[in-house]
Amino acid sequence: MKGLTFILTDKCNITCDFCAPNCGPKIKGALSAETMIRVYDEMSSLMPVANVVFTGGEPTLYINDVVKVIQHIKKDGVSSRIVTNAYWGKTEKLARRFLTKLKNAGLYEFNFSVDDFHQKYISYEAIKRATELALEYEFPVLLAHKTYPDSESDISTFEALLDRTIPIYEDLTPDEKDKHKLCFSSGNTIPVGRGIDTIDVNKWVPSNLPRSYWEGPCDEVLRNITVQSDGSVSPCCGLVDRGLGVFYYGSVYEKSIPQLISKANSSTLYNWLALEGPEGLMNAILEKSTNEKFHGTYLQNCQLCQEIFSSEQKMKILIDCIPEKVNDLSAKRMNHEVHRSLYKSKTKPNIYMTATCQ
Amino acid sequence: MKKVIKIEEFVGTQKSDTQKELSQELLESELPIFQDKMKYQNQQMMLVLSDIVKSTELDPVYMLDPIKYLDERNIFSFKRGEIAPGMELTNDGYRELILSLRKKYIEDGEMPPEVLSVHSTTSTQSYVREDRRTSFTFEKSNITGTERRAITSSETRTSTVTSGRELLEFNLRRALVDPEILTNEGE
Repeated sequence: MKGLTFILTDKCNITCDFCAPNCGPKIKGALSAETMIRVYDEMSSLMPVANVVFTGGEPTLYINDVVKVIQHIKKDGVSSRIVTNAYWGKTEKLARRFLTKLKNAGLYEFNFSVDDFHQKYISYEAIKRATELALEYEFPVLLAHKTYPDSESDISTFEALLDRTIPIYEDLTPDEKDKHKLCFSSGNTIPVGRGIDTIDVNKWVPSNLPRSYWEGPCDEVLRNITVQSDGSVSPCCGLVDRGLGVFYYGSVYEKSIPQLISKANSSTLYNWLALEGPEGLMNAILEKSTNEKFHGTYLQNCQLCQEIFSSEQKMKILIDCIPEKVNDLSAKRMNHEVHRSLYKSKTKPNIYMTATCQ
Repeated sequence: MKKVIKIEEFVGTQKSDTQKELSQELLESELPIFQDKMKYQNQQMMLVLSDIVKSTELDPVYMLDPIKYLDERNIFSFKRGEIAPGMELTNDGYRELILSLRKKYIEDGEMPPEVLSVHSTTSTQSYVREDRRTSFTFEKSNITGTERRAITSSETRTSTVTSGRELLEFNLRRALVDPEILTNEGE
């Protein structure tokens, strides 16, 4: 299992102009430490969990719950990560209090969300202080940056801020990633969520993007489990629009994790996404109905998923496609399992979940 | 003036009843291989065992149908000191267990094809101490999986220590669920 992600709250101390999950200060509700621990225990009893991620919203608004969960998973040697806007870097005293607590609990690493949208509310000085102190406490830090056509910040902004060269995470080998405590990663801002009405989508998503941006199997579906703040479970990174019911297949308050995993793992739709990606779904829709329109280029495959599952017409066509597709997908999944078993030392496994849980 | 274009598909916030119903319908479909869970799990077990054969260079002919190899009581039982030479590769529980399964698949009787899942009934003591026997119970099921009966070994210790049992169950599930770990871990 690649990872377990807790979007433990949608509450955030800031209201970015652009936010995919529409987070903000007025939103209430969060996963309790007890719920997260139960979910982790149920999952780790079935399969090894590579890492646990706490995100939101701003997860450090519930730092005591986060600390409890980290202390619990630490016994299994599981890596943990907090994705935060690092507002707590506004004073040294506050930052040290946070970092001491998390170091003692056993947190492994931080992702700091940094971009124009966040830095409208979180000062660069706070980011600088949080980064330097986190490094002092020997936490690996990834500056996770989102860019867009009019973006003013980039890696040079943060190199100047921190007065050092920062390696780009995606360019590093696994060994190099271990050596560098501070890295930078930049991705495109997907036009989803709050702020969508204020942008020129055609400018954000130019028509000349290479297919590599969005084609191929989805790397997240059936490799991750994301538990949302209301307990609903997604089979992927969970960063899709909350309005898309197709990505929520149950609640941790109603079913056990083995039941939920079994359901996700045997799902025709999720296997389809895992084996062929949303591109495979689009091709099937176009084969069935040549009149169906697609934007055609995407910043990443999530955006294509978004397009498909927010269209009733496309969903109806997909439902018609499924009976013709299931045998092909079954064969692909089985072949995949055989391939994974025989050649695992040479290739990266593509699907981690199996249906052996009852 | 900034041109604003709203593309409905990108917003994705429609939550109509129709969309919810379509989502439910899409989520209801299950791949045929998972509808026959027993067949799938047997396939999984074969993959695990064929992997062991590869890693230990045993004759693959034994693994053509590994489900057939189990003693008459449907129980795998082993002593640490009696395990095949490959055992000293690691002290990890799952590898010991798999090695013992391999030994019994090859040497002992036939395991019924309806074997559905595996549960450990060992204790921490028997797991840790080399001279204790460790037993594994296979739970049988009928074809529909609704009626089960557990076949337990007379050698199963009654004073089960939870942590030890859980450890072995965990390792066994890991091995059966994900063949990947057999070579990536415990080396």
